[in-house]
Parts: sequence; structure tokens; C-alpha cells
Amino acid sequence: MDGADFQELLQGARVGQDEAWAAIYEDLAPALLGYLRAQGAAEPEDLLGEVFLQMVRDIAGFAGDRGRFRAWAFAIAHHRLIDDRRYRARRPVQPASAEVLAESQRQYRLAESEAVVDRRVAGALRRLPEDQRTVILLRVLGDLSISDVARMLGKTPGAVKAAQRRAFATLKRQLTKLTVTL
Amino acid sequence: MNASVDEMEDLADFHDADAQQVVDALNAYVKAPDPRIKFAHLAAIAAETSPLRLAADDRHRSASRLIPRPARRFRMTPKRLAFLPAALLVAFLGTAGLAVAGVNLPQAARAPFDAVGVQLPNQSSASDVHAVIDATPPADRGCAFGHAVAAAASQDRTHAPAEACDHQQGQDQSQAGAHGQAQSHAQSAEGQDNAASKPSGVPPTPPAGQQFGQSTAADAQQNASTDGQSFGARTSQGAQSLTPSTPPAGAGAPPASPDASNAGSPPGGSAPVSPPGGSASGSSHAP
Repeated sequence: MDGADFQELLQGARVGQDEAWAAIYEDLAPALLGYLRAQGAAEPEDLLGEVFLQMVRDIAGFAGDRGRFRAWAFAIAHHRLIDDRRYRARRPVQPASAEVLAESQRQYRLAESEAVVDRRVAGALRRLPEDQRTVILLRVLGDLSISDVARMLGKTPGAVKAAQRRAFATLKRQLTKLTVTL
Repeated sequence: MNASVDEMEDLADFHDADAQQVVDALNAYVKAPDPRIKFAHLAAIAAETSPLRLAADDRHRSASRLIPRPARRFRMTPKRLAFLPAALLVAFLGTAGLAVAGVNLPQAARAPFDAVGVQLPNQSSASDVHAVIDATPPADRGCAFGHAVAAAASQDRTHAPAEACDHQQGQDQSQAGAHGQAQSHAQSAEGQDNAASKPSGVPPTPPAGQQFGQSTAADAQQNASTDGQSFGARTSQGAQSLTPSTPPAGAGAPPASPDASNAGSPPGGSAPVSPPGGSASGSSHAP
């Protein structure tokens, strides 16, 4: 998608064209969902829906190219994730019904069977500090630049570089160690 | 990756096989949502974008109202062109209907019909009247001339029967004969003294038919071209007045001789004593 096509798509999204939003969903939903899953969101699909609804509400205020639009979408996803974590931290855990538990286990097994995700990497990601995990996921899954990540997280580009370097080193070390062990 | 050259150098440590393994492992998280989840999300997005569509439609309608519409030029579209023959036909039939109803149409209205050779009924023509007048010498402008002028002016609507002039001609002749006889009787009865009772040189009273013809000619010359219908009506009435009407009951048979026919008839022949027809003419021509 070149610049002209993206601007036409953006204009269609601003006026509520279903086709434009379907194209935007096809382009961003897989990466956004992967980011939310890799961040350990409790219900990544629900959060994904909320991210797109927020994008619809705020689309009139956005202006920029395709790269800025992608960064804008991941910023919304990141902030929704943080809000969800805070919300769940404030709410006591309610015992789930049997039906809910069964559905949850079914979805977990579905994810397990379909996942190409290396559980070792997932475990290594969970052990990373939050800022390093966020940076590495935004850089790899979001395909965002260091400046975009810095702007989103309120950090300097240097700090983002440092976090990225450390995250990669840790993951590399963990995977190497695990490989040697196996 | 969406990284600049400087950023690529920072990632140089991660371009080895282990780093690529990390990148590949992380990219494994990137998967499209379940189709049911996707359908639900798109439906929610469509509901959320409804106000955006309404706002866009309102802006479009407002913008279209601000843009003045260009003035429409009349174009002869095929649809309009199809109505043209029908309109012409209606005008044609309407004009002809007026003529049939007795309306004397102006020359401008009759011109299209004359152009295609259609003669409208009940239309007077000054040229026809003038043609009759021009074709008849002044000396011959009698009853028949008047009838001819009347017929030309009224397009034969009030054409008086030709026999009317025969009877009138007989009356005129008998009046002239009686007048002449009266004159001779008066002259002979009164002798030479009475010979001067009517001064010589005074022309005799012309017959009624001749008077009619002369008056009709004068009227035609003055009024036929401007008010042909009225002229035709007047001429027709005048011609009818010359025509002997049905005698009242008990009036008796038509006179058998000129003397008897003129005995009780006033001068001018205004009181015909026999109905128009062969009897009167036959009797009037009786020697």
C-alpha cells in the first residue's frame, strides 16, 4: 500500500466506510493481537475489539502516514492493556462458573494445538522486565521505529535502544541456554 | 523492520542465527483472529462508525445546497420533440374547429390551411367579393349580382335561391312596365298639360333588384375586406328580403297576368304575393 492509497483509505475511514475499516482491520489486527497475547493480556481478543473501537472514535484527530498510523494503533493498544491491568488489579477475582472454565480451557488447548509459539520464548518474555518486553515487542511485532517507541513510552531514543539491546541479549541467552540444555 | 540505518547498526547483534530465532519466535504471535471474533469485531466497528457516516452525509448535503445549480438550458430532448407533432395537430384541429363553428378567422390563421390547399368552411373572402364585383359591369348589377356578392361574402351559407331573382326580375319588369304604362296613361289622360307632371330627364326609380345590387356593390367595396362576415350577413338579408316569402293563408293564387300581379302590389316589390318557385316565375313571365 503506497502513500496515496493509504490516504484514500484513511479518508474512507474518517467518513465511516465499512470497506476502509475492514482493510485496516486486516492489516493491523494480527500484529495487535500478537502484541496483546505476548504481553500476557487476560482476554486479548476483547482488548483487540476495544482497541479498534477506540480507533474509530479518535480517527478524526489523526493525521499522518502509514507508519504513524501503525504507531498510533499500537499506542492505543498499549494504553488499553495498561488500563485493563489496572482494572483487574482493582477488582477481586470472581470465581468463574463451570461453563466459563470449560470455555477457557478449550480456548487454551486450541491455542496450544495451533500455536507455533515457542513456549520457551513465551517463558523468557514473561521473565523480562516490563519496559524491555514492551520495547522488544513493539520493535519486532509492531515494526515501529525507535523514535515512535520512544514517543509512545515517554522515553528517549537512547533509552529505547538500551532496553532493546538488553532484551535481545536476555532472550538470546535464555534460548541458547535452553537449547544447549535440550 | 521499520528501522533507519543507524537503528540497523544497533540491531547488528541480533542478525545472527540466535537473534533470528528470537525474532521468528516473537513473530509467531502474529496471527489473524478467529473468524468468529473477526466478524464480531467488524460488526462492532460498523456500529461505531454509523455517526461518522451520518456526519459525512450531512456535510455532503450541506455542500450541495451551497453550490448553486447551473441554470438549466432548454434542450429539445427526444421526449419533448415527440410532443411537437401532437401540439401542431391540436392547433390545426382547433383552428379548423373554430371555422366549422362559424368563426371568421383572420388571414394569418387561414394562411397555413391555404398553403396546404385546405379550404376552411364559413370563411368570407374579400377577394372573392371583389372578384364578383369586378366581373360584373355596373349596368348589370342587379338582383343576381347582389345574390352573387352575398354568396361570395358568406361562402354560400346564406345563398338565396336563384329563382328569387327571377321573380324579382318579373316584378321589376312588371313594375317597370306598369310604371311605363302609368306614365303613358297619365300622359294620354292628362294630355299635353299633364305631360309635364313628371319633368323629363328625371331618371325613373330603379327596380328593387337593381337597387339591391348597387347597394351591395357599394357595401362590398367599402366593407367586404374589413368586415366580411357582417357584409355577408347584410347582403344575405337583403337578398332574402327580395325573395318572395310564403303567402299568408287566404291570399289566393299567384297572379296570372302582369296587370293583375301589379294591381295590388306596392312599388318596390316588397310584398311578394306568391311563394318562390315556378309559379311566380311562370306567371311573371306570362306574356
